[in-house]
Amino acid sequence: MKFRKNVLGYSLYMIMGAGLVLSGFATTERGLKEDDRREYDRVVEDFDELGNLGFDGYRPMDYKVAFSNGEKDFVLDYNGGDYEVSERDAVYQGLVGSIYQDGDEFQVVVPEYETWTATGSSSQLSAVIWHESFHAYQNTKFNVLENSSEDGLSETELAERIDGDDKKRELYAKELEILSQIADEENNCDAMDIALEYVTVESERDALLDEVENTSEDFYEMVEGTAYYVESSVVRYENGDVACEKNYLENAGEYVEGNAKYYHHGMLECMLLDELDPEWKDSYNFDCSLSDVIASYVNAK
Amino acid sequence: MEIVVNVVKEKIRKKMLYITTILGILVVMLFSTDMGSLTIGGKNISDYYVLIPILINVVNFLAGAISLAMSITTIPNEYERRTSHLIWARGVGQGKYHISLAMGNVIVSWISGMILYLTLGVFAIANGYSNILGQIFVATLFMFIYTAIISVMTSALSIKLPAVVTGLIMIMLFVGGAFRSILLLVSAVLTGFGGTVVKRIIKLIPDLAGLSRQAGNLVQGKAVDAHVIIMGLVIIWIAGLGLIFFRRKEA
Repeated sequence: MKFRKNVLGYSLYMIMGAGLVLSGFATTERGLKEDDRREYDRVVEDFDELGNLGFDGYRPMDYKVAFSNGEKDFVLDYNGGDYEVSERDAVYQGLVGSIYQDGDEFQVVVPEYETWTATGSSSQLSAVIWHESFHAYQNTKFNVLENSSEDGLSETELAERIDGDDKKRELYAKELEILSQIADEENNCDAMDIALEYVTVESERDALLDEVENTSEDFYEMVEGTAYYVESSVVRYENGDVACEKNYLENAGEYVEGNAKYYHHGMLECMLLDELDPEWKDSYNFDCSLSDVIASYVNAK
Repeated sequence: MEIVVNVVKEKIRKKMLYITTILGILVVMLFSTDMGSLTIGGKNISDYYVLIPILINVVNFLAGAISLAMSITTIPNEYERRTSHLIWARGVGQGKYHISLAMGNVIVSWISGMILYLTLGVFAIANGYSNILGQIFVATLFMFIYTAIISVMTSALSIKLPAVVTGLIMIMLFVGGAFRSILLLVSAVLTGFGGTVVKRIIKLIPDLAGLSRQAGNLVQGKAVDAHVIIMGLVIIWIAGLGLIFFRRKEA
């Protein structure tokens, strides 16, 4: 009797386990994860409200987005309200937020949501998709990388050179300080005055840098600065002014070692241009530096 | 049932529950004090709606740690005291005996966890968020799974391994599970064969962080991932097999 009771008990336990294991398999997410899908949906929804943010022909959904776990990429291809998802071996290993060129096509590669949130980054993944898709736009419509100087320095090399030179560093800090006035709500300076002051310091500093440094700096401020500007605009829309101020603007005027200063500098230049002429982006073809555009408004005055 | 009740009574006698109550109140008080201008997603962290998922993480972690500490010696102590022989004399099998002791551990862990959640509820009311009491109550169910995973795994390992070894293994699994996101991040940076191996190993660690996240999602009205809950139950079931089939020579 006792033996039969034990057998019955163990059998029930095994059946329960089998049920749980089967349920585990049934609920396992395969392919594109729900969190990643939600982030992409957010991009689509935000685009309905934000549009191209003034950059002619920019539409994040025009570029495939690959959510990568470092081993596999789940590639999402937007197709008029719906999207197709395909799987491939990861084109990049490790933690990457970048663009990937497949033939003539530029695609976005970002980490999966779960990995991204673990980085503790203040940027949300949907904003990163906007940022990277903007790079895809720059390269698809304006061949930015193809047109860049072959002799240009990498971001890291450039940053190391500037960080290691007191005078170049000091004047860059001055530029940032001047530009940051545009993001300061309490500052009542006229945008043209800020532009004038900025152009003066920028000319002085240009003379200090060699040609490669000048070209490289202009390039990264333009490429990364505009993408960062787009990213911050999306965060402002999604999370409000306070979040944007805290995560993008509060420290943008401070000199930091490394690459980040080029993102900040370019974003502040875009904000200054918005004040000088809200339509400046309509005709911007990424064929000249942002500081040149600012200088053109100053000269036209 | 008598064995289960005895385990609970003994733990209460050792005043573990008083310690957890004091700990709980201290932690929740700490988080309920002014957090300055720290914000998450544009919302001030002092907003209880934002704070609750963080508190759930902290409270579950505390409940898990207490659960580990209370479960580690229960079975070895019973064997050391030779109380097991009295049980055998009454015709109770080893599997059933281990399950009963582990059940006792689980119940004590749940009581500790409930005390912690009770303090959370009190502070929610004190801060004018009595409307989320229902969600906090349901979130307690996630704590039940969380602590049961720790308690049953610890109990099962303690049958075969010395307390120090059980403790070391469980601390690694517990901390790894509670901070699984960080491990995932580290593994995402690793490339090549080593990276692949590390990723596979991480998949074997119980997703305790995932359980707390689901509880947080529930409180904030976001979607809950059933897979995380089911996998938690699968781990309890596997550890339960250990309770049934692991044997001690002393018996």
